Amino acid sequence: MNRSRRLLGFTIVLALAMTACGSSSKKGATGTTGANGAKTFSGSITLAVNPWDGSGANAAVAKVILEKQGMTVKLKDIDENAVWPALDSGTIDANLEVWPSGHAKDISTYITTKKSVIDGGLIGPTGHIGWFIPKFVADAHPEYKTWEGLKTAAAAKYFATAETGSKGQFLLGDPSYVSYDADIIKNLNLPFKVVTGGGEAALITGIDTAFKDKKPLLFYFYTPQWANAKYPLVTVKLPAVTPACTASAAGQGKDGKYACDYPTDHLLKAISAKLQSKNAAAFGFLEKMKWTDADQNTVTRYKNEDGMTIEAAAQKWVDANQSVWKAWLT
Amino acid sequence: MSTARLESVPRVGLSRLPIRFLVPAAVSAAFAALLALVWGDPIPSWWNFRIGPWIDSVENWIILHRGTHWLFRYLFDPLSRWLHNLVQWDLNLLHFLTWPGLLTLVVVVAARVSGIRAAVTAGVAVFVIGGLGVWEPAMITVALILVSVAVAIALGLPLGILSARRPAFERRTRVVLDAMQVMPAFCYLLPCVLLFDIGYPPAVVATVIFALPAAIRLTLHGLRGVPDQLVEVGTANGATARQSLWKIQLPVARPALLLGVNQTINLALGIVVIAALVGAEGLGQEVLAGLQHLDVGQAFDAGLAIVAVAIVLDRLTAGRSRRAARAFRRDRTPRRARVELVVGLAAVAVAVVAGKLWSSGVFPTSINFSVHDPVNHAVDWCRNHLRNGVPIIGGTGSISDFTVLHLLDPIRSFLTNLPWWGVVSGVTALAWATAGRRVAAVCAVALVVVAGLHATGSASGSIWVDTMDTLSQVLVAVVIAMAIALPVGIIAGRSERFFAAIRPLLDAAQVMPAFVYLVPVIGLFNVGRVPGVIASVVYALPPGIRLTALGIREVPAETIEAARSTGATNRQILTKVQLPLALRSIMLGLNQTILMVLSVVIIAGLVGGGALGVDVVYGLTKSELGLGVEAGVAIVALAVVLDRMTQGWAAGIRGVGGRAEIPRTIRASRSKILEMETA
Repeated sequence: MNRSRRLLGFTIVLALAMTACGSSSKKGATGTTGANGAKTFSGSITLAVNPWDGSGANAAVAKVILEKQGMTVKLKDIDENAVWPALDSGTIDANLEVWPSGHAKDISTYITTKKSVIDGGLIGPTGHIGWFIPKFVADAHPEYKTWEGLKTAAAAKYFATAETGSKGQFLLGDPSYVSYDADIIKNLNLPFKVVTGGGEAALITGIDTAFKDKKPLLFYFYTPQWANAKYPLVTVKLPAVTPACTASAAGQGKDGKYACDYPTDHLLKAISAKLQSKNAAAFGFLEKMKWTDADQNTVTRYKNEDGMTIEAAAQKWVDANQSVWKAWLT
Repeated sequence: MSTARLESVPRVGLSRLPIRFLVPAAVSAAFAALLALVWGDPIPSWWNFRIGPWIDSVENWIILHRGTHWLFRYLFDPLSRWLHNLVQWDLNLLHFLTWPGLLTLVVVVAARVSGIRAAVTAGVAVFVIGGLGVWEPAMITVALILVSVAVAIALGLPLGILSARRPAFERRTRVVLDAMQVMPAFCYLLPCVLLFDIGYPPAVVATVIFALPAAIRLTLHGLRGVPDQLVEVGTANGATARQSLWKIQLPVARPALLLGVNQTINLALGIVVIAALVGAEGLGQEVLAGLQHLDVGQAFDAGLAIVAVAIVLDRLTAGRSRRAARAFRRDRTPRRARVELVVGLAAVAVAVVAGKLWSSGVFPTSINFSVHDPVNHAVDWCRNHLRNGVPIIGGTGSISDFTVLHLLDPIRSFLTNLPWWGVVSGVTALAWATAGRRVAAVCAVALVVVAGLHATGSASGSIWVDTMDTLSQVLVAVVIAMAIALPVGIIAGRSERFFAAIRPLLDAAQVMPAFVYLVPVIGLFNVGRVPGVIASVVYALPPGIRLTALGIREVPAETIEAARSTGATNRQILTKVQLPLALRSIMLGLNQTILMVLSVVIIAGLVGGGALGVDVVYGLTKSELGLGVEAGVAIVALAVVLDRMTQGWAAGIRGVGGRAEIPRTIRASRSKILEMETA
């Protein structure tokens, strides 16, 4: 009998889980333009938060402002690639910080071809991808601050690790971020080999270890990124962007001819096409929202240095910068 | 001692030895010559399954038609909404109960199902979840797991019954179930997003795919364990097929079925972290957030909470041990059962009301068990003191370099420098000589399939080379894991107390998500293949240790007594009696270790392992699904080769491991181990 009771016990738990099913009520989201032209904000939207601070800052500021106008804004933590199907279906209404360099295929599929996602214009801040070395390396060996200095056998030996043997190591992080490093190394004849860290955490831990051990490290990195504030880094000068490189980048570097510095990323907003009809007021706001590198850095600094939550940090910025965001509401 | 040895050690007759090795060698050499002559080296471009391009075109079609095509409007979208509502209602229920109510409910149910001790453990675990400050995310994770497990059982039970009744069905689905268990969840997680959108639904679907094979196979295993005589008695008494199933077979198989539920929950917990990548939130999101800022403490708190959730769910479904169950039944009267039920319900109701009144059910922040700061200090200390300057061995940094230069590099260059037909025929010959013709044929087919994968954009430019690279890392990880597992397992097998002491650690190591210890591992060992190897070793140790210990423990006491009476020393007993007899179980431990290592290839790719792991990550995140899936297929092929070969070895060994035989459930064997440990 015990066994049947035992099964019963579990069945009750399962039954509670299963029978609790019902239909959820979806809040009708509206937002209309009043007769006098002033917009009224209502209803609820969902904004994506990608796993980096800038993305969180944009979304938090939008949330604080829109909720002040009487809207409900939900934030959804999600991978930057999984966000595209969600924008397509309208589950997520907008992603406020897309690095276009890494999403050429998504942009062409969803924005250009299917038109289910709308290019919401620039968010303002710019992204810079590049090659970096720790400052203590640059101080000891100023020659490694340019790509010409990395051509020598001495440079290869200096940056070599067990994984790269006689060549110097170039450390890459997340493999899904846009990267032309293998081609740059090949086309500029540099005695280096790319080691794929595999993830951002691996890359930053590698940087952290280099600083702890005072070991040389050449790596792929970018700004804005919180680690830039913690570790003094120096950019390695690569050849300026040429038309040939721009052409190569347009094809995601698949021709293997890329041999320049990374182009500046003008970060943009991707908005679900469905939002336009669902909530025109919120759509208009998100399209108009635009701030600067300095603004975004202020918010992330409040968070990382003053230990505020990202929402409190956003609130502080919103309180101090009425003139900037009032324009987004009209 | 020589007689004992002769009896226990499997031996091949001398006269058969040449035949046993010469025939496979000759056939394989001919096979190699054929492959080399017809196909040459490198792998010809026409030998191409074009899985990648095909998957890519399917993906494109899905993207362009999702939301409009009837398949989505009437099938996937409603299904996705239904799953979302299911989780949401579950979550609402958990919130309605409030934390004191849930705590009481867990204690009451666990006491009823698994006894007082289990109830206390479960109650403490619930309290710890709150004390770690992750109550809200933990509830999301619990809701997700409950729904996923319910769906997996609802599908697995009928499919298991069908497999038991129709052996042909079982045979045909075997490969599919194998693939579902070995294919990294990463491979189908993002495709799930295309079909089911983001949030809870894709997480539930991915979890069900991962856990379903265990549910099916343990049902099948349970039904097969029903003695034929029982069924025959039923039939003789005029029971219909349906009556026989519901009144005889299922009730008799119930312990195995419950074990299936328990095991399904365990597997479902393994997907918690990557489910957060697609917006399922919960404890996985806390782990990822910690990882993002290299905050090991934060990730560790969330990881501990996952372990606590596992403990709670385990205690709710584990049941009593056989002896305790008998005692429990004896003392139980219907009246007493009714009183218990009423008291239990009343206690839950009171707790719910109390929870609503007391700070509206929010777990008090004043109770705090967070290990955030100690963990971060410990990690810092290790990195400062163990990386460099350790006497003699030099520190983890130099161990890392040594492993790369003297283990990983030679094996990788050996494997990648061999022509592909050399690898195929060599593996086939080895499989034939050690595990038989059938296994050899399976291995040959699996490797020839890998040779036909040509997706562009892989780490080294060729899936074959990446597969060999991954294989070299897997081999090194397995050797290190077994080198640790064998001695630890032997000690645990000979000392009951030691085994009891390390059991909680082994359980925790299996449930703690690898993401939690990735950062410390990269911090100690240099970025590259070594951190991946180390993470795999940590993850794969428990089954190796368990099965070694079990093998040793299962050697009959009389056999050992007999050896002792002939004057054998402790050492002789170990090397001449216990180890040879436990060899079969140890072989199964090796088999499990290999499969566990393969299951974390993706994780290894995330910390610098490169090869197939990075191919999968890159392919799926860059929506190059073709590459991701082809790399996934290569991982499955590797698993098939290594699994069949080691199972073949184990099958060829006589010993006491008979009861440890794995019911064809790759990775699901933990349940079998648990069953044996509690028996």
